Amino acid sequence: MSTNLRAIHVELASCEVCEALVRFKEPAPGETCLCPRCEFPVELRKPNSIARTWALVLAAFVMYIPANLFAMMVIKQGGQSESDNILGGVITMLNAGWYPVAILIFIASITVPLAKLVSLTGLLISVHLKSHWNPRERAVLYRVVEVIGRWSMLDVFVLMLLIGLVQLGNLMTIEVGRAGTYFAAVVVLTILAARSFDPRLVWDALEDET
Amino acid sequence: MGTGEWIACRSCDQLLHVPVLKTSERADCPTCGQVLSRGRPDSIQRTLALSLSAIILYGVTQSTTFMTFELQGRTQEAKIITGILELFADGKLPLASLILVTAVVAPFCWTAALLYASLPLTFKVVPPGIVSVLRWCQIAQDWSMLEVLMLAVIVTYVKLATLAHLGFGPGAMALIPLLLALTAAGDSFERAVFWRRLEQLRQ
Ligand SMILES: [Zn+2]
Ligand SMILES: [Zn+2]
Repeated sequence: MSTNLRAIHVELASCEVCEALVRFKEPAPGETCLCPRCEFPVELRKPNSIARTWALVLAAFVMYIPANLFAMMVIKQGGQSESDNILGGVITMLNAGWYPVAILIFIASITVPLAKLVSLTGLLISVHLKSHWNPRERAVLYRVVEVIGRWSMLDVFVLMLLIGLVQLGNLMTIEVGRAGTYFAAVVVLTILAARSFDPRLVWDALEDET
Repeated sequence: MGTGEWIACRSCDQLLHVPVLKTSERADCPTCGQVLSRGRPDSIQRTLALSLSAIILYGVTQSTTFMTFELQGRTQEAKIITGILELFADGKLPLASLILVTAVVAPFCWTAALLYASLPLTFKVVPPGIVSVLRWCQIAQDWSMLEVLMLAVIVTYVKLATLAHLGFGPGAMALIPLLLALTAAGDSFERAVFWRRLEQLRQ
């Protein structure tokens, strides 16, 4: 059962925590409108969604560059030291013939963060332009962005397991390179960016010109 | 209650009436396709059973040997925490903290929160602080990434298998049932059911 009404038209807000429908009264400055069921603040829309998402997306783009340029993993073996950035690691694995693993790491570490950032940028621009283009497809795109983000942790977890296992003194040691910190920043920033975007804005824009 | 409730789709803000669903029924938003509700009438009991098994398996996964590595007669054993501590010792604080949160802290908080909420609610008791626990449960679930760790174990195995002899400890063995239990717990946890039960008990 449904109506053509959207909650915002009748001043109802959906509680982000418990999904209750709350009659939304514009709170006095310094106060918040609280959900009667779970007592957390409710808002009609995520506050400053657009500006906050832009800031996080841009910061993630900036971090993405050193994350890919610098060395991710340093292998010290018999007095020699060898370092690889993410792409270098993928190429090494391809040369070794480990195609599925190489493709997996390439997708998780290089493609997923970039695809997420490009998708969020596209969504932000479409909201700015008040685009009427395929809102349903854009809603699906947003849900995909929300789900795939976590998989970019793959390479970080592999690194963590390798570091825990390969600590054999002079024989062989694995360490994390400079890219590690930047990569962690990319992962956190993209997850926060996806969360701060409010998908309802896509639908709000459809109504603005009518 | 009984006939369902009115909600707003969290993805497109459409006002919708969601009926009380039977087991394995699902309600999708007709406008944007967002899943609104899944039929989990026994949500609380199922979450209790699954989070109880998950917390035991979690203990095994974290406290026992996860993987072993053997090269030229030297063996190295590692738990999940070993690599994280190594990163901390190496001064890689942001990376180490991120891994600590996603592989150790968040999975524990999530499982513990599910248990803390489902156990008393099954027996119609309202535990103290339940409102914040249910709130934090959501955040802990978002940052719990053990399924990615599982895939990382496979990748690590392929990477090192040609180089040295690799073995799996009880920790890695327990990760598989732990993931199954956590996935099923996440599926059976229908937050609206918990909130409605809480609302009923308070009246
Ligand atoms: Zn609420
Ligand atoms: Zn919808």
